[in-house]
Amino acid sequence: MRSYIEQATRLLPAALVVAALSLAGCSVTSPPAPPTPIPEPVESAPDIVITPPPPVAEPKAKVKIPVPAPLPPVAIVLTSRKAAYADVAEALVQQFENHTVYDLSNRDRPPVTVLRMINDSDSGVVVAIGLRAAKSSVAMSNKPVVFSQVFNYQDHGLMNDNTRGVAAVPPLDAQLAAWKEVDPTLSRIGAIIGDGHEALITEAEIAAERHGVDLDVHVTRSDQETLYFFKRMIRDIDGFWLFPDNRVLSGRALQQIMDDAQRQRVPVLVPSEAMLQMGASISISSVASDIAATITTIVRQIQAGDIAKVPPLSPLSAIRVQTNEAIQVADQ
Amino acid sequence: MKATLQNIMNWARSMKVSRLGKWIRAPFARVDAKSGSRVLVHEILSLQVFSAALAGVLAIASLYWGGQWVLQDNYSRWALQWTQELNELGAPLFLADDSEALLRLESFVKRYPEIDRVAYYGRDGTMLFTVGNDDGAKSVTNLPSGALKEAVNVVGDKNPFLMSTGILNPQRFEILAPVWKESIPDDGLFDFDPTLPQQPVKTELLGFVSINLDFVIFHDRLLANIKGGILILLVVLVAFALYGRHALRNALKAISNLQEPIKELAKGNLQVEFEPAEHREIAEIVEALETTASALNARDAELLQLANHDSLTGLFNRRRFLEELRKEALKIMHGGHESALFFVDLDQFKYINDACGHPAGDRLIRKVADELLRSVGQDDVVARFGGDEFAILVPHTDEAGARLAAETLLANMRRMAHIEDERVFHVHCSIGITMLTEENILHDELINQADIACREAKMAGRNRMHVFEQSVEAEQQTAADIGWMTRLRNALDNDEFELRFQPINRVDTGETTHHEVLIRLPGDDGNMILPDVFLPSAVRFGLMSEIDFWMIRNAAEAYERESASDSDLKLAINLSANAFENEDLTSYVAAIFDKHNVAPGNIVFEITESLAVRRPIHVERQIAELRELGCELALDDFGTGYSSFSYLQKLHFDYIKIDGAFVKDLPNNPVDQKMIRLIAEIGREAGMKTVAEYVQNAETLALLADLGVDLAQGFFVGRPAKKPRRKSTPILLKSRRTKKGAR
Repeated sequence: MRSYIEQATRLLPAALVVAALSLAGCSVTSPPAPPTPIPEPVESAPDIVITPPPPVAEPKAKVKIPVPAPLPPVAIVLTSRKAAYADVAEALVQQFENHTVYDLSNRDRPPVTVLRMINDSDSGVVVAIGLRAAKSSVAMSNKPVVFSQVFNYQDHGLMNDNTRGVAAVPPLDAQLAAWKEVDPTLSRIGAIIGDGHEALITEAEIAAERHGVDLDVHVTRSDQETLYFFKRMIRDIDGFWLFPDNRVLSGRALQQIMDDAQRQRVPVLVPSEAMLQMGASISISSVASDIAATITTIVRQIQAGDIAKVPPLSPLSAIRVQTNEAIQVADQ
Repeated sequence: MKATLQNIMNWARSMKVSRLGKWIRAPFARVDAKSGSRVLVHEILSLQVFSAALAGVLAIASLYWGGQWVLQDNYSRWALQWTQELNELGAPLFLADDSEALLRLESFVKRYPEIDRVAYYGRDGTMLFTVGNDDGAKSVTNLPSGALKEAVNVVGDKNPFLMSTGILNPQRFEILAPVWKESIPDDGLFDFDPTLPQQPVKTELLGFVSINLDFVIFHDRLLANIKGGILILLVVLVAFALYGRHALRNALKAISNLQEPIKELAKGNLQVEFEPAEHREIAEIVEALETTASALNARDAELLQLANHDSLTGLFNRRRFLEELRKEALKIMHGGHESALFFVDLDQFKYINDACGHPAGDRLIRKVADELLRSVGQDDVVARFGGDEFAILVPHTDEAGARLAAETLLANMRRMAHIEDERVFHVHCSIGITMLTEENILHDELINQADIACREAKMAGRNRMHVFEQSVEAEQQTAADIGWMTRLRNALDNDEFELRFQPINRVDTGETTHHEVLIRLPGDDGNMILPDVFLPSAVRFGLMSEIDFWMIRNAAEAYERESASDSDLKLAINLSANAFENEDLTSYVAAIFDKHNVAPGNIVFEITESLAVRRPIHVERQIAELRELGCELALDDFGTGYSSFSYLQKLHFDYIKIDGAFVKDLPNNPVDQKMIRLIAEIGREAGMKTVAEYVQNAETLALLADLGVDLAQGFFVGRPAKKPRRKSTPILLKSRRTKKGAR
């Protein structure tokens, strides 16, 4: 993990340029772009490695690049010290020279106390990582809140004029592209998700169409229902896309899904590397540095007074792919 | 385990399981209508069929209960599986107004006719909706609170349901299960750690589902299969019974084939043949039966030999000869030819017996028998009538031929020399001949005629022959002989003989020690005929043995009768040589004594000296058996016969009865006195008591006392009487005794 972070850190400037360029042209919240032609299949080997950025050409004329304004102090609120939150925090502290990190798992400081401290501080923005941090921050902070690592934000009323978020899952198109890269035979996939994620479903459908894959999506309200539909779709699909909607998943349901998928030899795409040990064949997760970079961008825009221009939920741009055989990280 | 088995066995005995077994076997023990006995094939077959039927019933019962158990197990698993599925199907019904979910539910229920009804309840037990294959929608009510609590308690369990089934209707199930949903509390699965053994879970109870299941279809199918199985079993049983009957019959045919031969064997047909058997067991039985038949044949032959032949010479005996004579008589009746009967009596045979002893006499008899056989033709029949008398039947010959044959026989006998003790004896014979013709074929008369003729030959000088001439005297003699035979036969048949009892007293005290039993035949004039008169005829006509047995039987009856008033009663019974010809003598004596409560020690059997010293093996054996029985033995007519004193020592008798010839003129015959004294002394030394017969007067009695004789018998002592009475003889003073001849 640390080696990946170090590697990512070294490539950060180039990545930022790439991310900025890619963000310039697309936004998840804007109406979906017309489907682009399906690219030619890449004949390169499945192993995707990080290539060094092309050398920056010497400017012919001296152009004065404006120096970005220093970032405001931020209050980073962590739900807990779990890796999913701590990694992002760590990437963030690299970005923000002036920051304070608050850990809500510290029982000595309940969320009320923490937010009171934040409100009393000079922090300009609250970066909440995780649902508990986001909920507390949105509820009690008098400062703008940028949340990340929250999947079911819509259930908790996190969105308001003073709140912006970062997508909890990497771009679905990139995910599907990577999956197709790993398994070119993929042709029909299924997915089950709880209600309130219509945008995500739409994004998935677009990505599926773009990559020539049939997508069968069911919206359920309980793990029972998830299992019910999964058992019925398993025979008709050759891949299952597991979305991290905890509301419709339980430990028993997850295990059942993995067991049935293994029995039916149906590969499962999971949102975290840890779930590979349950029998999933591929995991695609977000990259902490990418999350941090996205948050930084939002914070800058908030600092610039352009919060209204910031979409409610900013997409990520990098994915981290891991199969059971190799670790793969790829940019979109 | 042993104790348990023992208890079971004790219980079985107490319950008289053996009687139960008989009761069970009774219907199968088919009885043959003719013989009334059980039929083996039917019994075996019945038992086999019964066993097969019992096994079949047990198998079917096992199949039913096993099938029920398997079905029950399957029902439980199906129920659990359907509960899980209905749980999944029902969850959306609680979470949203999802009509598709209801359709899915209905579709699911319809697929399984075993599901009677499914009902969903809210968290408070209120019935929300119900789907079913039966018409029981109206009967579904809200859940009682008790059931609610129980169902709530199983949320999250490994078997999260409550199942109940009817005892009388085990194929019906009722299941109540909570419907709940679980979720991972961690938003976005960011915190999800699959390695944790216990995942954190957020549970929310949605409601309850009840399922009524009725697996009657499977139950009915099981019953149908069992019925089919029973039918097949019955068909198999019947086929098995039919085939088994045939197979058993074939298998037991070898035994059945033994029935007829065994019946024949039982009837006495020893020439029966047995079919060879293929089975080892039957072959062994057949072999045993064949061995038995052979042994019986051999024994029959031996018995026949003994019954028909004289043991000393091997010739036909009297009985067998008479049979041949009768057969020849019948042939003559039909054929009209003539035959001759020879009666051969050895001359002076007594001399050789006296000179050389009875064993020598037996050797001579055997030699004579051999010579007779050599001298006659192949078709001639030779028999030994007893003692030194022989009979020869010469068939198909006239008188001239008979004379010639007799002459040849006489010549051969004259030439025959018998060497004994380095002395040479020439034994001649006298032959009496009578001719068998159509007019003269009665065997009794023929024997008599030949006997008369033989006597004529002897009277004429011996060593010759004489042909019977029918004359008035001869006819009279024949008639008289035949008359005696008839009279004796009638006396035996009608129990006409009578007994008389003559006391035998002690010489010294005059007290009666025992009585001799004498036989008398009442004459036509009312007088008693003495045995000397009729016993020879009895011997001649073969009735002596019967008379002996009559004596034994009646003496025993008299003993039983008279011993009531005289507990010390002791009787002496005469036995002739003919009595010992019967192998059953000892067993008869024992049976009669037992029947009439005769103490064997109170019976003395008197045997003539001549019979005793001859000692044929069978006589010696029977004497020993009588002694073993407890009886005493007396040597009768001692002194007249052929004995030497060496024999006396070997004979172990209790009494010696001195022949009357020595006693008759005792006072006047010093030689007789010396003889008697000697006999008395030897008797004393040998432990035998001496009895003097024919004591007629007091002088003789006194003299006997002087000579040392122990007991006396005679008219002076006591006359024969109808009942045994103790009568003391007077004891004379010595001064009144005179010894004539001792001067």
